[in-house]
Amino acid sequence: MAARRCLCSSLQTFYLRILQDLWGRGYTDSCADLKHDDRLYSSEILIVLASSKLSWIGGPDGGFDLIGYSLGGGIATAFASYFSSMVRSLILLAPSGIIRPEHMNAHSRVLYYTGLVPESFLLWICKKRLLAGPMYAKENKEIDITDAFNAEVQGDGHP
Amino acid sequence: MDSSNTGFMPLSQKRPDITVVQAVQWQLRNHDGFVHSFLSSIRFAPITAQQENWRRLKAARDDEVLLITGTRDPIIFPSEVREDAEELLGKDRVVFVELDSTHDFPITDSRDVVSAIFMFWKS
Repeated sequence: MAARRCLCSSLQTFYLRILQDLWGRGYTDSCADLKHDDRLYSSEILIVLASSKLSWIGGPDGGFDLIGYSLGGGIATAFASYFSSMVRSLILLAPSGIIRPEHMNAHSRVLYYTGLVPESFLLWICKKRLLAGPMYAKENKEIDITDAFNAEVQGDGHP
Repeated sequence: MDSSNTGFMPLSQKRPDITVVQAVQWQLRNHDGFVHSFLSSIRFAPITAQQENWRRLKAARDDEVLLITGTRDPIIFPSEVREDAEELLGKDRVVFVELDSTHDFPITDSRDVVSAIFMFWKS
């Protein structure tokens, strides 16, 4: 989210642009009861476009250029694949989406996917972890997929 | 800009007094939905195994995609993502740019990113 602002302030001289805070980030509410998958995030892009007074999809040179960073890259890829005619060009900055599965460790798999850990405890522990401050990524080979998010939310991805 | 010191990197030119880390802390303390969305994203968002989206993308359009990565990114490895993207989309459909930076290069190296994008649009 932050990165887009820096980047977009450089682009603002030449282009109209929309900055989108994903669900649950910035001043955007969370859809806490829904799965945050590519369908939900694609819907958000459509909602953002619909909220604009300008038409972003009409005209002979219609459409818009889509820039996705990190998780946004995975979302942008999904959106462009579903709504190809709306997207004039696709730009991916360190995109998620095809991170190789071996970068995801067993610990996280149990924690997040098996349902063995009670949700309320998971939320608590997750918040505590994030509140503790930036988490520094370790050696490349030990990187856990969830660090992708930690790095994104902390703005920190140093080896 | 010093890419080794993101903690002090302002969020934007409009808000030079706030850093990314501070913004995240604000979200954790004030936004009840933040952790919900965070956790749900780890579980369900397009992070890994999205090959199907890439294949659909390949079928749906025939233009090039600009892919920018950071050499020292500990999460998105340039060589891996390049190899996989080129395999999925076709070598001639991926314009690959690698910056000498980490995962936060859109903040720390925004000028390089913008010039790469301009070059891509002009080509």
